[in-house]
Amino acid sequence: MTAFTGNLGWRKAGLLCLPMLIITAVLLLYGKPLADPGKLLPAAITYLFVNATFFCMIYTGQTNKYRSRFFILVSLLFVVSFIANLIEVRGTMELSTANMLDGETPLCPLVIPMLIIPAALTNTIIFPGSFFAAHAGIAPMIVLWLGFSVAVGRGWCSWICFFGGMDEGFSRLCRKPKITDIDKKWTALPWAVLLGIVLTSAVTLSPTYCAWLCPFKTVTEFPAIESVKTALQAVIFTSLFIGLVVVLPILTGRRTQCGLFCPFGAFQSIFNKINIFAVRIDRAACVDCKLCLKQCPTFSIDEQSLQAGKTLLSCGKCGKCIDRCPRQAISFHIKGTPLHVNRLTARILFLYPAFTFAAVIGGGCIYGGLERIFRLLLTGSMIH
Amino acid sequence: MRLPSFFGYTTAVLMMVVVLGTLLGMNYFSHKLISATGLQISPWFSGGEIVRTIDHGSYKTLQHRAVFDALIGQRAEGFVQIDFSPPAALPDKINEKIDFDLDGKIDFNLEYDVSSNSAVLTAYNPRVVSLSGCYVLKELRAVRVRLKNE
Repeated sequence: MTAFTGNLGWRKAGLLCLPMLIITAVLLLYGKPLADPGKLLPAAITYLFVNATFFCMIYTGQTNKYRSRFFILVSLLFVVSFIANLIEVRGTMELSTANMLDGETPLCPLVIPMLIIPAALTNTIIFPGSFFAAHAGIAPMIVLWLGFSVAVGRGWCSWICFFGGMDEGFSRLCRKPKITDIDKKWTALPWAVLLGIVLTSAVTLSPTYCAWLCPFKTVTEFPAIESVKTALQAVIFTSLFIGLVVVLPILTGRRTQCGLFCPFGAFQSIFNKINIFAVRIDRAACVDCKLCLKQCPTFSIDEQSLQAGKTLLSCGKCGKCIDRCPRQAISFHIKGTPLHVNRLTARILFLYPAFTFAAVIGGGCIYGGLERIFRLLLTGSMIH
Repeated sequence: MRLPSFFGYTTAVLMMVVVLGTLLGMNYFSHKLISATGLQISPWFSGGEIVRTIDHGSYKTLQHRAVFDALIGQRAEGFVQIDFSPPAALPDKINEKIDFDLDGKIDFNLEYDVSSNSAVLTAYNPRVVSLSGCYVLKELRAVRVRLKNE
């Protein structure tokens, strides 16, 4: 594997990482030393891990290698902390009708596309949560999503989505793909699912993806099984999780849920159009080995886009193609600037906003999960 | 430096400002978003606005408006939510007559058993369909009754 920026050297890499050390100290630790020793160790480990990850990215010039490890760990520890939190608050992962009427459902960003039409036409949010709940309130989640989407577009799917890490984790278990020939038509499926859920949610005034199709209900919260309908929903969630998040990524080595099903991913692609950052292929340096096309986790490079020197709208800016390209022909790019000039500047200017969000949101998940694990080791229980 | 490049790099730097502004100002922007748009939780989840409060001394009965809201217009079926609060002060059994359409006539009678969280509905208005459910919430007990729209 090669890296297009090469080794920067300790001093230059250290200097480039200094702002991130400060930003994460302020935003992750709130600039205060933690008084509780039970929280100090997980916080210190999180802080060091986050900054070590960023340093490795800058120092080695490799993006995806370190992003991916960080991303998968965030995903695993998010599940640990989220489930422990649910058990602590509700005593179960089940979400009852009473919990919904109480507005106790944390807002998942995947719901956002379904909220837009009802919000525009009825001025209401069709989600059983609270605007300012202590945990993932509707208003802060919308603000976070908006800020991140403006800053890095569909980079959301590779840098912040705690569900995407599961898909990516299983895809990395694949040493040699058993399924390589995936028809390009399948990449239209997320758009079809998006259209379907947006329309059905608007008509029914309830988030239909959450009710019927979300694979991640399997590892977070799910409607209490109280009827044939909720039992059927549970079967669908579990089947989709096993199929799209576990089995197909292992067989293809790709993020099949993210690239071939997730409607939120399709929705985020729209923000790539207005986002200043892109991934570009230098046609002069490209030898058409098509390694990028074969390895793109979200199916975001095809023959035509390769010839055009661009990625598709669905590009998650994970950096895998950049890391893997044997000719260093692919790079992060700032729209409007000359192609393949100031690659390091473009890369650093992209990595800072992307990783700052990842560090704060993902770092919070890592800290939350580690704190629960330390609690388990020290007290025998993850629950307060 | 060409003008597009200048704008490109400037916008790229501004993205970091967007990120820091989002993270540091999340609380402020969240409150601004809700106050500026006047967004509310859908009445299908919140139960809708409270239109009548009956004070029983130790506890209160809160009657929400009938909910038939659709994306455009109204639905053929809906519900009305009746709350009893606070839970600690509720008697064992509550008997409440409800006029859900506020026309001065009793539409149904609810006999709510607090300990078993169950209710018996007696309808006087043909628009009252059936009991939808009884719910133990954090700060109140709620009963929903299915309704037909006019």
